[in-house]
Amino acid sequence: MDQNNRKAAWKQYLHYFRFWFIALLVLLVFFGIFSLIKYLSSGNARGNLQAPSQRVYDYADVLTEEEEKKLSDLIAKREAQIQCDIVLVTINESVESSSVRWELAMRNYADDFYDNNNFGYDSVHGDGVLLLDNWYEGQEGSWLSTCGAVMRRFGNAEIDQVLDKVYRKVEQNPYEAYKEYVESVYRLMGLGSFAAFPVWLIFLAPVVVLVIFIPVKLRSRLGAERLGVNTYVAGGAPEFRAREDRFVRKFVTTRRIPRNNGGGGGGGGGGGHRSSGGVSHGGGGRRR
Amino acid sequence: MIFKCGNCGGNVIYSPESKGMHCPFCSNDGNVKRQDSSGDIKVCPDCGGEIPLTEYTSATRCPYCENYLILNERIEDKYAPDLIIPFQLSRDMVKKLLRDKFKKCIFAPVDFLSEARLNGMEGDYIPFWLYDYDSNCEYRGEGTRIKRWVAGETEFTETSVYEIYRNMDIKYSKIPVDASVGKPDEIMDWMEPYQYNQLTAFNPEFMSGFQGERYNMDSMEVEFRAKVKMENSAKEILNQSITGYATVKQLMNNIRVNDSRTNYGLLPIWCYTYRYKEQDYPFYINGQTGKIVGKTPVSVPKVWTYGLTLWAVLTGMLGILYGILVLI
Repeated sequence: MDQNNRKAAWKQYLHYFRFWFIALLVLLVFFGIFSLIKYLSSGNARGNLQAPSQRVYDYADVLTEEEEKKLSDLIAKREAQIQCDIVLVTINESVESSSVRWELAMRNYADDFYDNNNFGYDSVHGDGVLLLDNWYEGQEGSWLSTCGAVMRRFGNAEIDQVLDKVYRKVEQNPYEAYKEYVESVYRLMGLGSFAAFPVWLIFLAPVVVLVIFIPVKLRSRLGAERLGVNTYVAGGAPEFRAREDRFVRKFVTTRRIPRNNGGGGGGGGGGGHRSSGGVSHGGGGRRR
Repeated sequence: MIFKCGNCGGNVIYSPESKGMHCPFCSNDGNVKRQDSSGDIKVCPDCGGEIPLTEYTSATRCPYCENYLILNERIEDKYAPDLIIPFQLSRDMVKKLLRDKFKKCIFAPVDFLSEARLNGMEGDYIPFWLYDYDSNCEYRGEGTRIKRWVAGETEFTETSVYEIYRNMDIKYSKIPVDASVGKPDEIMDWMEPYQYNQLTAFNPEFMSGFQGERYNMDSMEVEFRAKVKMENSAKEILNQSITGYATVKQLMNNIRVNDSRTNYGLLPIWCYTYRYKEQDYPFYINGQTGKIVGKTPVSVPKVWTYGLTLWAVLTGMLGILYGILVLI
């Protein structure tokens, strides 16, 4: 009997979830096919051979030889994966002057460095990103210059995200901070527009479904509907002997309406720019 | 009383499908012999086995020879029903009905709708008192209608007062109240409505194949429930006739019964009692209309397994979708 019951339970279970399991299987197969295609078509060759092989320019000398080496290796690996050049420049010099703001000076420095070295993965001045980090006392801060695919992909939110990651560690451990820079660029570029998608939602959304689903399925009381009022009335309706609505009197009251006034506000926006070399760049930066 | 087949001697029962007497053993429909028994029977007149009876039982099944017996003295004279709605739904029809209805209740225990459990279902003729009332309802009240408008910075409110008067005759026919101690009143009320056009004169043949009770209480004892139903209905009808007012104040409301009659009737109800974890879950199915009243038990392990499975499947699907989109 117990054996039978268990068999019946399994049968019910499989029967109920049959479409779900099939759908899951189909999705898995799709995923397998996509992974295979991706794997076979990966290894896009570098299109630009005019750029130098160096990526880490530590003019401020905040990294050890070993750290520079490790960072370069990481960059080489990530560049091949996202097909974008990733450049790091550290400087320790005054860029600001009475005529040029810090932001503008940093921006020009970064853009020009990128242009003059012919960076860009697919072509000269093509896809890539450059982080300029200034260590000069009183002018500490970073500028992130974006170009090509990175420029199209990165809005202010993405740039801020990368800078935030760098600033969190750069004072204590520059190497870790620059590694963060490479990794966050990789993450943002690698995942495409889904980088911003919060992964925890994948686990939480089904919980929301359950919170709705279970109580609905638990509701099982049947039959407590109300009867129609005329159910037992012979002929279905009463017989009126008198039905009167007689007007008696009326009166009017008044009230002053209090008036109130409302108002509104406005906002602003931003955009890209062109470097002295005529290359279109995006980017952003701030002081630490 | 027991109905026997003139051909094979088997127990003939009333069949809701063919709406007539039917011998399940030789499929004979016409030749029926009625064997009466007198006195208060305690043993089966057919096999001599002891029959479990309550003081109200009027029809039951012998647990030994499985013949359906009807107790003459509990359906005759003062216990003779005036009217009856014969069962319109057979056991198989009700099984199908329950399965369709509870198919979606996935948290019900596994064997809730199993053949073995559903076979324990019994068709029961429940005693009902049916009350007719010729009522009169007289009402007087004061209602207000409100109009609002704005001129400049001033809002004007005009309140009109009306005198409302209603006087109506309502004839109620066969308000049912169950006269069974064992059946919960609330659930018996939920079994309504019945289709009274199938109400016919009583004939004991209809009871063969089912359980039955004589009335447990006389009509005076339970009449208050019919009165409540009647008054609630009258008030509702009255409220529906008073419309268009912002506020209504009742000044007088008299509901009078000018004339009343009472009938004794038997109404058909299928009872399915499902036992789960030491607790009974009774289900009542109107044997005429198929209306179901009951609450399904919840199997906690099923809630967990089904809930977790659904969560896992959804998470898996979302995860894979995410993976695919990232790859693209």
